[in-house]
Amino acid sequence: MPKFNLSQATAVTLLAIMVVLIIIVPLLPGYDPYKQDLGGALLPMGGENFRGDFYLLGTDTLGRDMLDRLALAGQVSALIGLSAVMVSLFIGVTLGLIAGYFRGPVENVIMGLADLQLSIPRVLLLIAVTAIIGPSVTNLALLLGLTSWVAYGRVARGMTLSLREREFILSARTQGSTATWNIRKHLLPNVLPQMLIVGSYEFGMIIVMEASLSYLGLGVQPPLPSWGMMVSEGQNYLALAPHLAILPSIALFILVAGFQFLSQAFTRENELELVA
Amino acid sequence: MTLEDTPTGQNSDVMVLQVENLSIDAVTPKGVTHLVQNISFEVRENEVLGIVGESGSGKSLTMLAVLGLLGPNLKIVSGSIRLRGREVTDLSFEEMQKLRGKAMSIVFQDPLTTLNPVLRIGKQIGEAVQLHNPDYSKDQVKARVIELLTLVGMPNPEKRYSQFPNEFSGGMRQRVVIAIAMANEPDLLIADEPTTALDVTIQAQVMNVLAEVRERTGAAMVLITHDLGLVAENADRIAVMYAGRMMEEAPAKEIFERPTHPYTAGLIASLPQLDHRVEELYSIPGFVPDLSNRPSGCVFHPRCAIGGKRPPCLEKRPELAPAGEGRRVACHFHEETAAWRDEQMRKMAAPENTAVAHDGPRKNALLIAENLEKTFDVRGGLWSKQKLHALKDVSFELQAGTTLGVVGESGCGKSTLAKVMLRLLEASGGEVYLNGKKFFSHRGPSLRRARKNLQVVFQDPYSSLDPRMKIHEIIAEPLRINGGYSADRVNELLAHVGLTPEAGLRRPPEFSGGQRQRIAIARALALNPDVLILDEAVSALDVSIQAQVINLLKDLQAELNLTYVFISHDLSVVRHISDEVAVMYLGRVIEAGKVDQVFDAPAHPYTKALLDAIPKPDRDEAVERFTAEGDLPDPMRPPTGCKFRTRCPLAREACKGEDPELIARDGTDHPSACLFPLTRDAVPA
Repeated sequence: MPKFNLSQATAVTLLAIMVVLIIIVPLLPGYDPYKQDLGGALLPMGGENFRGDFYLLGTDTLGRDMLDRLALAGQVSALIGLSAVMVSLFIGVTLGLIAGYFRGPVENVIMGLADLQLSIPRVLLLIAVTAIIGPSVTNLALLLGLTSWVAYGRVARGMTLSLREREFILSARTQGSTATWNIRKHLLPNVLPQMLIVGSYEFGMIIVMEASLSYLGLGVQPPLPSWGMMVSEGQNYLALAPHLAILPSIALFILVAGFQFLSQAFTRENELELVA
Repeated sequence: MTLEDTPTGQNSDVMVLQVENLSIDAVTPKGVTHLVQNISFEVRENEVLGIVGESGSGKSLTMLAVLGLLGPNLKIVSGSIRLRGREVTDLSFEEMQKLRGKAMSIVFQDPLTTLNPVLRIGKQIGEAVQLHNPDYSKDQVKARVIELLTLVGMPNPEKRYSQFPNEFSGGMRQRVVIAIAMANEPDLLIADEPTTALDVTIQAQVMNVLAEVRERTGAAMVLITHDLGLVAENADRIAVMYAGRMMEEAPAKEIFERPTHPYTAGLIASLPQLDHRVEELYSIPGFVPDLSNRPSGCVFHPRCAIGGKRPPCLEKRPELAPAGEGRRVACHFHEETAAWRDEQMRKMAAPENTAVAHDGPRKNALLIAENLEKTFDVRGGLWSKQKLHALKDVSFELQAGTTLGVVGESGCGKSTLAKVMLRLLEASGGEVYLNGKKFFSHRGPSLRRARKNLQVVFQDPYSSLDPRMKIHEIIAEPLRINGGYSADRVNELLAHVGLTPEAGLRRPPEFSGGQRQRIAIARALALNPDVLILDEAVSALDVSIQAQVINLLKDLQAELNLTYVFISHDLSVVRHISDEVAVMYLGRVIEAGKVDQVFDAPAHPYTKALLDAIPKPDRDEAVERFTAEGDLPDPMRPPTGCKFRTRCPLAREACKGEDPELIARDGTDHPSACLFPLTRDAVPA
């Protein structure tokens, strides 16, 4: 059965750490990411305040528990990442399948749109739009989703171009199948696994993008934390309390790396399937 | 182990290659699989040994072992390989490198992947020269390359020297590969399916080149192929392999007349014949065994018509033992093969001309194609657009329950014809009538309804089934699309093609090529079509499996009164299955008629050349072969007049004028597009 696979094992380890942080930590007694304690601010990792409360990862400028903050921020980031991936996957796969299956002018319009999308610097676009519609978790997820469909669209179209000439689709057509039938029954199931690979890769990109927007103050708004925002807040205290900026960076790294390795493991799995 | 004499008598006695008791294992985490078991053979100077076998028989693997090119998880576990008496199995990689290309070299199947697309061919051949002659100057290398190109019959070698592989046709590419293999005049040339990727007229040319270069250098050759006819014509001796073991070794000229192993006899009986009709092909039952789970005793016993379940066959593995002059065979009951074969030959004997049955008054044709045209716009330069005539004025009529064979080489438009008729491509002109109704005028939903009468089975059993669907769902698909799905109907269809309902629960990757093709046929039959278009439907299958599928198709036709359009490059199969035949060349039908008329008395020189190009074991050397010269002309710039005149040995001045119509001319009883058709009696030399 499944052989030991380094990228699989790494992915599992890294994502397990994230699961503990994002799901288990909030279930622990005393979890409260908003509780301020100005007297116990900027405690180092493993520090105790004057009441003898123990803080595994220390506290931030307002004396909030860093572990709890990191957990909540992780939930926010994961939520934004997942919804953005779902939005962009849906748009990208739909447009890609349509472009690849129907070819002709439809394809030209869709692929033109993709080129247009890529030619506009994404961060600038996001900054401009958030400045207008105002920053919020929903807006951020939607915007990130709407602007990152191109990768899915391109891959889906490329696969469709080769699949549509495959004989199982030709034979379905001779049996009187409609375009909708072919796309739903044949193209989508064959394209989807590849899309999950793209998705696991894009997920990391989106988390980083969210972090940079939050760092600029255009993402998640306080008191809701996000890793990017925590880095941004922590940079003023780099000398005094380096853990404020370093811990969220590490968390970010673990999550993104975890998904990279996951996408690698997926790819390998899919390759095996293609060979077999 | 040594043979007393050489079959042709002209070979020297100097051994070039001796393989003794060779066994190869694959070592995987799942366990050890014995891929090749106890193979022994010898090749002498000037001799050609043919190794024949179906896919998975271990024939290529054996020769890769000789070259020392086995993959990392493949191991030679026993035996010895001696090249001119020198043991090579224990040589280091560096020592083997000195032998490869110098003492022995290989020609692979697909010249497209053998050549590096970004290197000029002069450089690629030059590399082979330089590897073993590092002290050659640039000019010396170039001179040698030009010499080699000339040797393999390349026209314009100086000009060709600096061209890239994509500027060569398939046949020319294979000549380049041969030039590379012959660069250092090796003692042993290994040709692994050297012509399988090529058209039959080109195959004849390439085999000639191989024979010529060997004659010049005296190299011995091992010819690996699945094509019994090809080895019978080109080899001195034949070794037959099955499931990693050697079944039989015999003089090539005698293999068709006197096969000694039941497997060989079965293979021969399952081959469709080119020169006469046979009633029904023998089909070897079952499938090639899984090598990780070989049958006990004789590997062939589960499929054997002679040994079958007899105790020695089940229990004891037969050794390869001498059986008469120049022969060895691994069978407990090989004396009985001759009788079995004679019986098969009687059974197969030509039936009372079956074609006559359809000769009565012409009923309304079920399927009519009228002046079909298809042109593609091809972008030429930056601004220019060119037209490619893929189909030109193709017409035919077909009665219910009969089969039209469409033959031609690659690029002749036969697959385009299938796609146009199926409306997977829109025709540029013409009409198809199905049951008297215009098929081409349907649009949208009415087209989808009309389509169910015209179904298709494609060539590639791998890409024609969606790998993510279960077999039951695959066969149910047409029923679901058109409404009327029932599980019973699917099971009935599975039964039609000889599969059980349990097969429906599995997915395509679990099935072999032949089984997949059965599934594709079941799916095509789901909507009770009137017409089935079979586009190279048996071409990708092994010989024994091919016969099973052909027999299945014939049975289904008789049972369901199906009408077939059978598209194939394989003339023997077309002869066996068709009532009428149309021969295509560059998008046109150049000859049409009853199958016996066309095969027994071809009128068009191209048809004659096609027929003559097919390897035959019993070719009469005295009768000059009628060959098509050179390559297919560029379809973008076809010659004026008759499209075949550039390759036709009989072309005259008049052929340049007009493209001849497809009509019956003097001395022939069926239409052909040739101004000077060949007649039944007088075939000009």
